[in-house]
Amino acid sequence: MSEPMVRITGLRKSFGSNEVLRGIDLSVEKGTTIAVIGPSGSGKSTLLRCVNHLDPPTAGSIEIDGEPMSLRPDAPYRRQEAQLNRMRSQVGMVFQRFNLFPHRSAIGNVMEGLLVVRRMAEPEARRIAAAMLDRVGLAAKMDAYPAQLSGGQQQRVAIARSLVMEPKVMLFDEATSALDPELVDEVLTVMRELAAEGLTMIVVTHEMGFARDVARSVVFMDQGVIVEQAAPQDIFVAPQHDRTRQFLRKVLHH
Amino acid sequence: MPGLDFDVILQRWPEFLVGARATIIYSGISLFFASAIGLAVALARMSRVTPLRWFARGYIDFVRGTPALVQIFFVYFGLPAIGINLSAPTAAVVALSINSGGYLAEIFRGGIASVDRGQAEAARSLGMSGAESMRRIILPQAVLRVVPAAAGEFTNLVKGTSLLSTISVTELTRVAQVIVGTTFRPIEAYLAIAVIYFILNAFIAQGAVWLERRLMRAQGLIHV
Repeated sequence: MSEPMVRITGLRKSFGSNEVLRGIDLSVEKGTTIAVIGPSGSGKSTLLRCVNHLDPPTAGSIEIDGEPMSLRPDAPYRRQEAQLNRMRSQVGMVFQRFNLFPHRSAIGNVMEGLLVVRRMAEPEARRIAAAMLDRVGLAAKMDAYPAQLSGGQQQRVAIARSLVMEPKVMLFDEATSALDPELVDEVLTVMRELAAEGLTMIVVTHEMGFARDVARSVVFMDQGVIVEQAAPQDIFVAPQHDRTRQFLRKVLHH
Repeated sequence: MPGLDFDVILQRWPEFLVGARATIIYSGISLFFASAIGLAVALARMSRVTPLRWFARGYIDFVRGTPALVQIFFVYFGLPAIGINLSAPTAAVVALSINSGGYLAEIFRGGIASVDRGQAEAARSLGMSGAESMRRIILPQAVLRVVPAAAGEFTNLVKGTSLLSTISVTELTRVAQVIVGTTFRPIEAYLAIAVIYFILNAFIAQGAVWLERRLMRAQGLIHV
């Protein structure tokens, strides 16, 4: 079996005395999508934020394509920061609330990482960013500012902003939860296409349909641990654990 | 009681002009240095380096907790005692910059802190360094938000230049004092400079509105 794209080992995270993640081990194979589901407060978002160290883990390790996300804590601060910045540029993140830069146009948002992090010349960055916006169906909105875009359009710009960095893995943190219901599909469609093209993705989601159709594997989390991980046809049809059954009963029969 | 006589005052208009020009120049130069100090101290106040944070905190508390007049006296009359002799104009700029820098530091810090945390997170998740994220993403948004408060501080700075009359710097208030000394027309003279101060600050207020709109337009927040 080949090296996984993401390997999470013994991950723990505490905020003060509150232990949010209590020992997570998870591997994501190259080119596959993993869906993470679970009740709110189960630690799924924290798990994603620990992967790219927006929340630095309390213990455990994260490897991306065989390389550690962070250096050992006794390394010099500057080297730690450099490693983190380099690794983060290979991990895309899409947020629930989009977090687009309001002072940049759509194409400005997408170019930002290329200009600042990749140090690309502006014409080339513009060309690549334009192509990426076209790919998420927003060629006509390139010069629009975030405030002029719908939630679904903003989230697609945010996806393009991450994709343009050619990440090894994309993290989606409840990417459709802040959207009006009629705008959810346009974002899910883009995400489905990415999965079909073989991008490695970890998707924290409440969209059970998406998890069932797209994910290679579904992880059910509760109270900071992975309760159950299985292929979608198994976990949705015959969950092994009571907690999984209770959760699925709640979210599926509404 | 003699009636008001503005003719005597109006005849002295060239001196008021000189005073007004000096007030504008001292305010302007001090604003420049105060902004630089303010930004540096604001960033130090949020630094991960603990001594820097302490220094910034101490600076801000000291500047805001002591009278500007005492600070001016300290720089002009006090520093020579330890071998630092500054001319009155230089001491004026130094004291006003240090003073205003302390207030601007807190205004800037407030502006930076008001930018949503998700902005820095999005920038960092792209691989930007903390400095790149601050310069490209956070500060441009913070600048817009601090314009009204910073304009208020600029107004304070303009008014604060009147304290410079106490160290014999020629500026509006000093000019008025001199004219009163020869004309014995305090009401007319002080009313005249009050009007000039007011007009200067009206320009600042209007300039702030203009700058805010301009920044908003440049950042795509209004579309006219």
